[in-house]
Amino acid sequence: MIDTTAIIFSLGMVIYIIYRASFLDRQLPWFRSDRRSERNRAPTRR
Amino acid sequence: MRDLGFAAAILAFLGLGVVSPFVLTLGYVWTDTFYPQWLSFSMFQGAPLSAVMGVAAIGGYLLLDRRAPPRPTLTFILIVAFAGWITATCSWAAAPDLARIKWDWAFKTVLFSAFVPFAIRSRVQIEALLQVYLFSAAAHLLPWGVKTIVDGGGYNRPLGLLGVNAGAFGESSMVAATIIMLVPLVLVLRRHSVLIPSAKLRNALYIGFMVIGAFGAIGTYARTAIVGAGVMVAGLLLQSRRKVLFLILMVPIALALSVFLTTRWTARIVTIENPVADASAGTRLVIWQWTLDYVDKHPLGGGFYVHSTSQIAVPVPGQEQPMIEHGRAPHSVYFEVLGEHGWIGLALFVGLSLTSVLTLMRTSRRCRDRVELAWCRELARATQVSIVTMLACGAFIGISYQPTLWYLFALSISISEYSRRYLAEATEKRTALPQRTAARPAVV
Repeated sequence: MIDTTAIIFSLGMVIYIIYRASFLDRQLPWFRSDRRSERNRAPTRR
Repeated sequence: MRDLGFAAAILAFLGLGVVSPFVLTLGYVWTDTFYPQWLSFSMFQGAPLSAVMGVAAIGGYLLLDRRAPPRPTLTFILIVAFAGWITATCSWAAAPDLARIKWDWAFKTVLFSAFVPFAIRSRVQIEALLQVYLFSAAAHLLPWGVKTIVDGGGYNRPLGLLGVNAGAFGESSMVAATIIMLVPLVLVLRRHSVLIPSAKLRNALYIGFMVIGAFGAIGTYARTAIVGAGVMVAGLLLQSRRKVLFLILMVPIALALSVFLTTRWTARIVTIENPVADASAGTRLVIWQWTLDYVDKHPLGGGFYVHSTSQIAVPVPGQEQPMIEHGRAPHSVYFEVLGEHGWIGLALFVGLSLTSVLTLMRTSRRCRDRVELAWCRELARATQVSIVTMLACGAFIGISYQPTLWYLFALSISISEYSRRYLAEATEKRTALPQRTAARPAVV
């Protein structure tokens, strides 16, 4: 029972992770450096 | 039913691998960690799944995915040199038949770790590698924890999915070392995961893993768990900005765990203080001395499984006559590598370990002032602690060629190369900007 639950949990998570990773890998740029760091960000105008 | 689940996972890896070739590399990591061919009841029993996934991963990369390859870093060069040297030592192996068998899987593990940074380059890919390893290993590690909670655990008991000493997760010391090594990485995933966006789900999964894992580590009754936990906590403490708060938090955790420690557990752990009196630890000291004597005469080592030629006299507490043992394994990564591949092999292995840790330290410094690279910095620091923990545990277990350690070496290259590419791109953009401004005609 414990072993079977562990296997089902593991398989489910692994399949979810590879599906989501494959999806996001095509959506997000690989080495995006255009986001400014907090230190350099201009103060918000009110 | 179980086999249908495995078939679904294999199809998912191969299917998604066609559109995202790095998934095939994750498929190799999964087969190497989860052992579907050993857990299968019929369909995949003994099937060469690792070979299939390995060929698919390398083929997929070469045909579909040759983008942004890593530089030949020192860590990469040392991995390739080590793979070459362990192949060379086979030609003068003291036990050639056995050497060939071990070389077959050890060489693949070492060489695949050199390939991983080619396929795993972006943030999503790095995290996916970690998550796939974590959840594949969780199938083996969580039953140890749950069964310890239910019935108290015990030394040399088959509490995982595999039998005693079968694969990496059938051996209690390796189970304890892996659980403890994973803690710093799990803490980073909990804070920075992009693959599991829900904070509630992350908390449930990762805190749950750490709690059940802690019971699993205790339930192994392995002394390695104490060594590993000590090194891991010391590493996290050194890196923590709020050291006093960290220590204060550790007290209730240690007290809560101590409630579950039985007298049987304490009796086994205290033997760490006097290794000669304990048969298992005492034998290690004798076989280590044998290894030193062997490399004194054979400085280039005796090839894989050289320990199978050993004959040692182990002192037995309370008896005058020592016990004669044949072919005893050294149960230490350093003595295993030293005996099998000599001083050159040990120098390459230690050099590789040091280079990985130093590379991660440099990566962590490099990312210090970039808020958007906070995940990369924390991951570099966590991987550092994980490698040092594995190397400390490895002093007492023979895990030189277990994939876990080699994935950590590969991860160190992937993280370092990611930060280098990212910052190179940022610098390129900064320098490109004034040129564009200068080229623009003056309108004012």
